[in-house]
Amino acid sequence: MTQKSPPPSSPKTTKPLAPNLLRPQATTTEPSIPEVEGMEAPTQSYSVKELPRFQFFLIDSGWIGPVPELMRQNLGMITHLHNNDPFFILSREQSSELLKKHPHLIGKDPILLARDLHGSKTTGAKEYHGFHLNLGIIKDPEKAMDVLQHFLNFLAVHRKSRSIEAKIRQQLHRDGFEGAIEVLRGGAENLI
Amino acid sequence: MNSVSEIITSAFGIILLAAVGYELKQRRRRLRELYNVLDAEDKHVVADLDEMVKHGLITPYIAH
Repeated sequence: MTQKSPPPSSPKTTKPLAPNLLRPQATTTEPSIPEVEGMEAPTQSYSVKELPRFQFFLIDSGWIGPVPELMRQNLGMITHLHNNDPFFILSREQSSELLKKHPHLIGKDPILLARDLHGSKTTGAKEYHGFHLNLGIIKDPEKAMDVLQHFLNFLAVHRKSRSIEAKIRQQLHRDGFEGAIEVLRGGAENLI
Repeated sequence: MNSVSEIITSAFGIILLAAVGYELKQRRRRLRELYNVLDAEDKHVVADLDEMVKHGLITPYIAH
């Protein structure tokens, strides 16, 4: 595959976010529902309203193909759906440099990386939290569109969830016995 | 004769179960490849992205 001219990255940008918006913010109220070990916390118990939950990054080194084009064409829609969260788009050059530095990502872009700003708060761990969608590994644009919509829907529905990573494992990875049945019933392609 | 058929049936059963298990593993691997939580490798990617934000190399996109 070849590369083309830079995608329309950051066509309209504003001044950088204030540093305090880029870090997890302390909430004024603590979750009021007591946690029971091994039990998933209710979605509505996480009292974050106006603060961004995620930080999105789009890594796109500029591959020519229907799936990267699809991503670029729907950029406005994607950002509009998550307009409370800062959305950073790397230029072709920036993306290429990043891929060179982290070669395990080559061939997986366009990558939509969602960093969970509240992940460390809920788990107590200090590592980075979040997840990524590697759209570049899908070759069929219709399938890619389905996956993208499903992913955005998942994030929007669970954005107030305290344990979104657990939900990812349970609902997207189809872990557990029920997940296994679903995988075998529908096939991974249909499920995603 | 009966024992031979039982052995054959059992062997096919085991093969079938193994095939189902393998298929399940492959499909789940595929799902994880598509979307996954950030792991140890991604930690460095996020650190680099943080640096880019910190230095103002990337700014939030505003849809028009």
